[in-house]
Amino acid sequence: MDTNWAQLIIDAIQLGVIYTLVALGLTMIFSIMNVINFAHGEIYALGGFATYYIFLRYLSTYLGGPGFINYFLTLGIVFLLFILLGFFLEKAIFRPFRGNLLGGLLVSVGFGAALQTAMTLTFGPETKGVPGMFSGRLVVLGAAISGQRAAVVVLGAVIISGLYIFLKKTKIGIAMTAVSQEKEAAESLGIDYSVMSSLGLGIGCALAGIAAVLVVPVNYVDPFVGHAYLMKAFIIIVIGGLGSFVGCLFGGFILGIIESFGGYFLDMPTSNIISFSIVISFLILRPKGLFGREEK
Amino acid sequence: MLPLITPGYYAIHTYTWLCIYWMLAASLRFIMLIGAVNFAHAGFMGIGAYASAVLMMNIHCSFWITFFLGGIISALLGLGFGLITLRLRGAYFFLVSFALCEIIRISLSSYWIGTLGGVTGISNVPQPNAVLGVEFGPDSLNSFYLAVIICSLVLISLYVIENGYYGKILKSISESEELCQSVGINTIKYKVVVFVIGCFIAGITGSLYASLNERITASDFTYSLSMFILVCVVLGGQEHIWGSIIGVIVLVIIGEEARSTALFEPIIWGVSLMAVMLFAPRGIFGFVTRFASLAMKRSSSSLKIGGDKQWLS
Repeated sequence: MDTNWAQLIIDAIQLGVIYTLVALGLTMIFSIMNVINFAHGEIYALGGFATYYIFLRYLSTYLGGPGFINYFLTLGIVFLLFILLGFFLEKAIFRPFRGNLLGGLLVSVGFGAALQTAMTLTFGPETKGVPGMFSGRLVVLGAAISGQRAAVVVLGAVIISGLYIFLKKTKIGIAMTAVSQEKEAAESLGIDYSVMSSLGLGIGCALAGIAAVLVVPVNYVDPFVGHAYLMKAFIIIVIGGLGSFVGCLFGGFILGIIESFGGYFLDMPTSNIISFSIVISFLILRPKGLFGREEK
Repeated sequence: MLPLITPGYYAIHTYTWLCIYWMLAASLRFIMLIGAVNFAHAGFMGIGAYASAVLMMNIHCSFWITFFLGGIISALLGLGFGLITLRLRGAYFFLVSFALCEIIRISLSSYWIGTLGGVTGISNVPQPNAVLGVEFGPDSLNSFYLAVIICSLVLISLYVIENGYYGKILKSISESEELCQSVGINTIKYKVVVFVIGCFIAGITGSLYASLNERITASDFTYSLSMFILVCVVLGGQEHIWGSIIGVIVLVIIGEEARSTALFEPIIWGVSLMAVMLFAPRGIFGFVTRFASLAMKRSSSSLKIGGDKQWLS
């Protein structure tokens, strides 16, 4: 059987883009607040449900019919909603734990468990899906990719680029980068840490939510998908370095390759073990990840 | 809750399980004394459990040997892992221990399926062999006594170590590792020793669990269990070993009570956890002793959550 290398690579990119988005959110939260948000996966799942209800609600009531406009509107709405969610969570739950790794971890664990059950009770435990709207198939270098999956890659890349530009070119973004690198120095320059903290959590949640918006038309969502994505994010962050943007990209790509190629040539358990072993190897050889910054 | 006080099957069953959790919590807390949050603790328990079960069933080893062998094998794995990873800082060590836990779980459920039983695990794990005419059966009174004795020995040993000379060095390391290194203490060595001891105890707990529970699967030993134990330790109060004991009791009680409202159980658990973290971050023990230390003007321990920059930094 001929190995369709291009297909494997395309699959890798598609997986990588989604995982990177989730991981970027998690690493952003960590770099600003020094907290590992264990509820990040549940927020992703919440994004999936938001997609389901907003997209289908728009379908049936307001604009009628599935369509690109509906979808992009959903994207925008989820993005804004989740930024607000992040603001709210920061003030309600995470504020006392900024800089407190263990405390923040545990409170996010509690929150994640509560959120997951709340979603199960509200939305039901069944899986939900959303019809994709990008039809057709592209053929790239001998690899077939459905229109919807291509949309995932393209949109994901756009979002990642947008985030990069935000962090490097806009005033607020630069301020956030400063806070993540040298908190006290940034504060002494007049940057308000509280605002940055809220914004950091907001963007982090928004990234997770948006990743779900991209994935749900291709895959499904139920209240329990969160943990798998959390684990992938962990792997990426460790490979790429906590708090590093470029590291996340790199880690996401590597994880995509491992899963795509590993799932094809080996079996799933082995490819999972390879992922985790690479994590450990990286931590041994380069504890800060490939691009990680020094922790305070 | 009344059944817990009256003697009977339910009480014995629950108290036996409390002993298992107490050993796990105390050993995890012991590892945390050096600033490492070992998310793989359940995995080390699993290794001990599987080792003990496999040795008993495949080469008909006596439980009294496999009990310690389970601990030793876990300790060896802990040694290898700890040597490599204990120099990592808090968050990284946490994540890599998470990775290890998953590796252990996947390995136990996917490889050597003939011996390890794959996803369904191992059933009919043999009981501890009779000693001096004393028989041990599942949920029997004698097994309960065994668990209590082992648990007491473990807790007492950990307490003695922590409060002795060794423990003082550990406290210094957790407060300022660089300072200790500057006076010539080989901090890595101490950290590794502590970690190995913790893993050994997790391993023997697993061996005990395997026999008392009669069956084990890889999904018994996931990071969820590690998280549960971690919550017990923190909720009860990290400053003292009694905190771990209290934390386990509280969490098991909450679990039992919440089970009656089955659907809401995780919400109750999650919200309680959040509430404790927000309002009593030093845990129950810390909450109670806060008044005592105010009265006696003792300085608070460096192990408190959120107070010390060195903690997991």
